[in-house]
Amino acid sequence: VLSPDEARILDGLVVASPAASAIAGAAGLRRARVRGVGMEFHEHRPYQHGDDPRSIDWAVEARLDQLVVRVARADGDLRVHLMIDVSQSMTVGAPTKLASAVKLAAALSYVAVERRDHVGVATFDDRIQKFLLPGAGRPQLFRTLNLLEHITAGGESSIDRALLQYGAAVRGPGLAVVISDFLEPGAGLDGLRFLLHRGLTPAVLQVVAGDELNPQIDDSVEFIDVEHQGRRLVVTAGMVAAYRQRFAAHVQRLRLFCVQNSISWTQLDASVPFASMVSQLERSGIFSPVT
Amino acid sequence: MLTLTQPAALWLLLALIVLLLVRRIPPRRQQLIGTLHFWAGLDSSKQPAFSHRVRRHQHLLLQASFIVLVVLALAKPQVALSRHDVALVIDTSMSMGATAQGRRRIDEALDQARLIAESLPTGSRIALYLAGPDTTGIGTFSAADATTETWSSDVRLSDGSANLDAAIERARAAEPRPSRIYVISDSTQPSASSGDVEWVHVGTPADNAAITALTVVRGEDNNSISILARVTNFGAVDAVADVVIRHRETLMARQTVSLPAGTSGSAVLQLPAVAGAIQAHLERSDALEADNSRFAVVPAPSAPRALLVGNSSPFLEQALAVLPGIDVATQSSSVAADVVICAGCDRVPTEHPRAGVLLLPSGTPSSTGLASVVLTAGDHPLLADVAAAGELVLPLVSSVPLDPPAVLMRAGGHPVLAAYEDGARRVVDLRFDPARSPMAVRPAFPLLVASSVAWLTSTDRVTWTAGDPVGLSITGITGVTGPDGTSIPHLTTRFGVSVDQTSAAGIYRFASPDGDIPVAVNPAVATESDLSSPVSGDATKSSTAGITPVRSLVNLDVALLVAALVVLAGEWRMRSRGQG
Repeated sequence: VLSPDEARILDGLVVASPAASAIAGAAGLRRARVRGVGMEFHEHRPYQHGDDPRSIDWAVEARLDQLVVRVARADGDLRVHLMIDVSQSMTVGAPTKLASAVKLAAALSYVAVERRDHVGVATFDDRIQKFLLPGAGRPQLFRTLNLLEHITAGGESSIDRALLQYGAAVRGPGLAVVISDFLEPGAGLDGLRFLLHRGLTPAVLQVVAGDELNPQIDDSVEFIDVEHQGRRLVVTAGMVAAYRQRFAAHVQRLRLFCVQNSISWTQLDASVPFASMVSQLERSGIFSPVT
Repeated sequence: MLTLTQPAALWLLLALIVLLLVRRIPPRRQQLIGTLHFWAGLDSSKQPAFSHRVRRHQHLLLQASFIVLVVLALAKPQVALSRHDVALVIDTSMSMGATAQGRRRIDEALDQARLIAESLPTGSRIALYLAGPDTTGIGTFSAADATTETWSSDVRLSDGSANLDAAIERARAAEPRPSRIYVISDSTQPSASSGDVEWVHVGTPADNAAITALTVVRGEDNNSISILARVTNFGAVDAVADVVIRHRETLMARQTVSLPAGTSGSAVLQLPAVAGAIQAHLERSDALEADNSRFAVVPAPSAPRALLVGNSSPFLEQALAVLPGIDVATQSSSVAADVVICAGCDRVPTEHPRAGVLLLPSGTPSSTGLASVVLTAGDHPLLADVAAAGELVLPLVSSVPLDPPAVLMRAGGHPVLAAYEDGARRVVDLRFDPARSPMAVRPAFPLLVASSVAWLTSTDRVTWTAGDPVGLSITGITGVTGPDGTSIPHLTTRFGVSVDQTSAAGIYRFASPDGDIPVAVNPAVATESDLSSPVSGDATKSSTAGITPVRSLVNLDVALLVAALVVLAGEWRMRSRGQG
């Protein structure tokens, strides 16, 4: 799925995520949102009965004549849920949107495993098709890549339905990266809301084809809906402007939802090279350099 | 304005039909799409933008453009940036009649004129001038309508020289002013000619011989004439030719003259005296026929005879004594006289009614004393060679009045010289005292007497060069006939007659009550007969290669081919990108 050159691009990157998505108590490299056992000082608080006497800060007691304990920030790891839309609509474009989605998922898996995060993969069209529970370590990476390598396109898409199904089975915290074109009337917003409700932090990677962003129609073209083969529509060059307005409004609706819910949103052109996609993910905050 | 040199090439535009058949409009394209959600319900009747429609058929358009550009290039289009007004000055001097290889120089000049006209943009105007001794404006033609066949009927060669400077100035003064003046001539271009003049040379060096001088002297016995015909060989080849003398188309004599290259020879003949004009003809076939004939008028039987009557006047006698070619007799009424000179006469003598009279009336000296001479009719032929203005004379006041128009000189307000005609005779009246006038010992006095005798005897010049205006101090001329027998316009003044149209050599006859007066007009051999000098340029060229064209006709074929190649490269590049 990833060539050695492409893997080399990913070295030095880490899946950046908000603290809410880290799980406290694990021996990860990330800061959890909760207090707990960790190396990094978080705050002082008055001693209470039952506190470990080893946590009392004796220096403060000597100076202030009060018993206070040091509270450390708990260390944690990140669970990355990769959800890949494999519906028929992802099979258009050159290269196909599905191929780009697989590349992105492989990159996220690679980076997550390399940084000792947990990663799991699910494919969906109008429901969950394949599912790999999040796990860590090289074996999990191999399992993930193996699943990605054997992805096949499914049927019609229903993002909401698939995300509802996934959210019912999985709960947070964790980073749920949804890779899809989001080109359905509801834009999958209900599914994203449900993931939030389940304590997951969604991240939206909208993969679109170049022809969807900028349709090239000389005179007239007969469009065939790839998910509904019987549906055809002759479009003319004169309709392009109106299409662009509709498409932009749809994307704006999805983007506004993400902004309002502090969800990362990234639109990727499936036709751009892999290195450009990685750079775009860095700019949008999905990837960040290792500090 | 766009003109096509090879319009037949436009038939190749039919290749466009082949192109359209090969690349007919492709069937509607089908394309898989992720969802029709965003397309459904849009207005399909909306027309695409023009740029979209052009982009759809861009390959077809580029290929069609390539074919059109190539076909247009093959049609050799020329575009005229603007019309031009040019002037053509064609030399019609005698030398333009010189023949080489069966063609006259004037014919070559007309060919060059045609080539120039063809090189001009359509709509240009050509003003045509023929430059002989005088400039003749033929008219203004459009470049498209200019045909040398039309012009050639207007061309008449002169036997004189061409005044090209005057012709150029006349062309330049025309309105609108021509942007370029083409001078087509066999003469060399003056080094100081201005930039708007383009000199087109015609003619090649040629062998030619001409009669360059012909003089006739009457013998002392008046019964014979001596003829000297001088023949010059201007060519590079020795020649032998016969000189034939004719009088009124009758052969009088023939003499063979040997003419080494570049030298002159003479034929001297003694013939019985004849009256009128004679013709000398060189029987030789050379490049220029016009200068093989020359004309001369046989002089009057004897020198003018002057009869001196009246008082003795030493100054007058002295002046008459130094006059050559005049016989002076004194105090003898039985002697025939052509002019009577009378000192102390107040009235015109009645003797010798056909003789001219030079009067020196007695009169009384003017009370004003010596006075300076003032000319009142300086253009009179009598004063042509006399510088009398300012000379001091003592006027004589006579009781005989003078007609004011006849007065030629005054001094102190008194007439001192008058010239008029009294019936059939001419009279010159000198009213100053030579004995007490300083002018009498000045050169002006004998010159005045000589000029008076010449005017009184009407011994005018009778040999002229073609192109020069002929002027005779003879009154009463009723008509002038040219060498071909046609009537020639003449201008009569109170002093004589003049004729301007003398471009043809030959005998001109001035009709007077006393009979025809022949005047010989000869070819301008001094400037026209030497055809040996090389001229620059290629006189046999059949195109305008040597002519600087008016920079207004631009060939577009190369530019169109370059544009076609650019279009082809663009189409190939777009196809490569499309495949990529």
